[in-house]
Amino acid sequence: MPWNDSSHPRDAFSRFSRRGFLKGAAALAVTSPSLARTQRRANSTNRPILAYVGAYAGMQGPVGSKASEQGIYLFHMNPATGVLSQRGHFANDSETAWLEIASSGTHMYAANIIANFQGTNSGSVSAFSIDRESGHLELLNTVSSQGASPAHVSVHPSGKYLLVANFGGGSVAVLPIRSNGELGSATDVKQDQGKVGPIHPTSAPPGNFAIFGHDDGAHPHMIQADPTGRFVLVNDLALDKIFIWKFDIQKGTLTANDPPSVSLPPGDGPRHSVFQADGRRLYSLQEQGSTLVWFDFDPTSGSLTAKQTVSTLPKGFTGTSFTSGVVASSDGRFVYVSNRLHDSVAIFSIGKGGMLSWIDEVWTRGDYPRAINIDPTGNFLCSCNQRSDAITTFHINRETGHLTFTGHYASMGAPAAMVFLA
Amino acid sequence: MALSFMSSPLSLTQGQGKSSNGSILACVGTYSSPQGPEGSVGYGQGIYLFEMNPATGALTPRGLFEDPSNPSWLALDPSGTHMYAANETATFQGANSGSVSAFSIDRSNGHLAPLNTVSSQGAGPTHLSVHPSGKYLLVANYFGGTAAVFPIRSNGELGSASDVKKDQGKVGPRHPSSAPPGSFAISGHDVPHAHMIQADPSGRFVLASDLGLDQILIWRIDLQSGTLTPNDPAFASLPPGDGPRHFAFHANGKWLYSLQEEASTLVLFDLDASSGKLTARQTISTLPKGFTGTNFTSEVMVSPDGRFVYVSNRLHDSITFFSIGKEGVLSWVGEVWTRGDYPRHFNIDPTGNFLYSCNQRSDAVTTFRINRQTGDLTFTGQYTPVGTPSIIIFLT
Repeated sequence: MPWNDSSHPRDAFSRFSRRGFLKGAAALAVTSPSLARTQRRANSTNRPILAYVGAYAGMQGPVGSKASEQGIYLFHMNPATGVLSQRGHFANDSETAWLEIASSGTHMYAANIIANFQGTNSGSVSAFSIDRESGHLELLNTVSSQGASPAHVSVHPSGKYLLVANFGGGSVAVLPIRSNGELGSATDVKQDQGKVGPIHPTSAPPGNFAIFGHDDGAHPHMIQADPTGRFVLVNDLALDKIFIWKFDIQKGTLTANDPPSVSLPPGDGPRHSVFQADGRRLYSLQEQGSTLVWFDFDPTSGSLTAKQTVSTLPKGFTGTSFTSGVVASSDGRFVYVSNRLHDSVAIFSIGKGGMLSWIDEVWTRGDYPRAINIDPTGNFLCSCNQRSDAITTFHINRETGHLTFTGHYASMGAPAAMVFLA
Repeated sequence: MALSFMSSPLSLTQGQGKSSNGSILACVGTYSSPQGPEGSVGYGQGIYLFEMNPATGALTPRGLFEDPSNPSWLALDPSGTHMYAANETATFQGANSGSVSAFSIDRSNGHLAPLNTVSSQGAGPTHLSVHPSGKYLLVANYFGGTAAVFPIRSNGELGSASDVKKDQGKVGPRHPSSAPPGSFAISGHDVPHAHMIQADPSGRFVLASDLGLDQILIWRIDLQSGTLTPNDPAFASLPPGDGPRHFAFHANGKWLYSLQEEASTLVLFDLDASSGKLTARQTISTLPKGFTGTNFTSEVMVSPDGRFVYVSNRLHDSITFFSIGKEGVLSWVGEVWTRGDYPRHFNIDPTGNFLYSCNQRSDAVTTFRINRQTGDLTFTGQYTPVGTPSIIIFLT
């Protein structure tokens, strides 16, 4: 259904978001003394790094157990120790599946993984402005994501568009970003087309029951532009494909590339991917297959060529695991992958030409790490352990890529997505 | 009593329970129904038989007894010739109850022959044990909140229940008193939930953990009639909301270690052998220093030599271990990652050299080598695939 931009955003604000804003403001007000201290030592090297973590609660332990928190939490990270301290809470009525900060560092966008936005069978996305000093968030607007259960958003390199992947609805949407950071009405919506892959993944370990998402239609799990901004890639978990779209920056529209997609092995479930080497390589993570596939990306033609497949699980592993996050170190030497149920972060080195080599694994110290992220200093990796309600922090050895647990658990209900304010 | 449940692992170190080639047999129970654990699908197919290599700890599959009714808990009788399974379902023959099954075991090959299956006298049986006399099977029905006693016939079959007791009392609060900061460990504090039932080594008392009431109920058992009468005192209380789930006796029969599911604590109790009174002496967290967040404990076990206590933590996904000091007092020794999700159960093999973790949600059993001197666990690298494993026992 067409989205009426002129009336609905204000409705959204008045109906639920304002209440959330006030709660958030109150929570932040409580911490003002520490914020004042922060400002006093603004030039010191110990100035905290700001991070936002979204909550997305699901099944946890025994029957009926579920972390009840919702919204977005503000944390301060001590850049020397990696210790995270909770400093604020921006409440809202949605579960947050993904957060993205625009490259300007002044606006943040949240994927609200719901399927009932304003009475429609759709989720929503919210735009916030960021007070870079205090970390305070101000809601700008909330609009339909143009499909149910958005799981991922990213900002196009131009800064002009927000790209949205609606996992439940099987669609992707392009939303213009206005000069003040607000979201406008969709300039394009595309439904992923294709045949749903088999329930059982081709590449999963022996004894696995990694059964998910290959039953009822398309499930785009991630959407991102290549660094040139000319192409937009969509990982569709159910169709076992990465779609490649050409992007029209003037109109904000997607047209099928030639080739329009690349296939992963049936059932493997591409979930997330990360570009490297100035956009000439893509590492694609498969959720059901527990594999990482290295593709070469041709930034002229937009074609992806598979070069190598590695398991994200240790030698000898049997049973069930679902991958979740993939991040690369800023120097491009290492790739980190999170494994839900194995509850580990696997570490790979990137060799000359792009070849992946297994280095090590580390226990997350918590259950079901839905997301991992590296802080702006490059010294710490945080694991959002969704079902054990804590974020654990690991020290990164920048030379070897190894991770060492710092011993620090930061508590928060159902942490699911984390971004740092660079 | 001729045999207590703690003395059998000790006797096995002297060479019993091994087949002629030196291997050891193990059974793994599973969630095997579309209505599996916590509302999810059970991917097991029944009770799996494995042969364990006592040198390496490796498990090799040797058979499957197909059973689609969630045989989630297993126990042997003192002779090791019969096995009993708690079928954790909410319906049995049209009634709102689970069931229990009796099997005879061919000791040469581990083959299971079903004898009979009877109502467990309550929904969702999660635990059962054989009284040291070998005459009665004790069953805890978690969802029904009942404890039942079944006579065991001379051929190992189960008779009709000789007693059924409905747990009575005030349900504890949803939020545990003793959980770590940031915990959302909320479960089972809606109605009484009998989670475990076991006789003390002397066989005079029957203890039953009720997770919902935050109590360990203490019964006297009449071995002639197979009936339970409340002891005086009739229970020991844990802190409100903490959720006692399982307990383990030290081989000396005097010390009991109670494991709380929502609080992630171990509490040391003294058991007075004459009065049946439990007196709490120590409380210790099952989680490492600095832990915050949610965890649900699952199993507790004393090493066969009586020197260490092991605990499994679901969501932290670890086994933590403690040394037993003077007077039974526990000291933290270490933790090990289970290499899999939601370890519902673990067990130590009869040699005392290996520990096996049943990782319910990652569908594998992982094997750890035990350092007998220090208690430390080292992962062997062995993952054994089993769908939704819930318990492992050794045919001793």
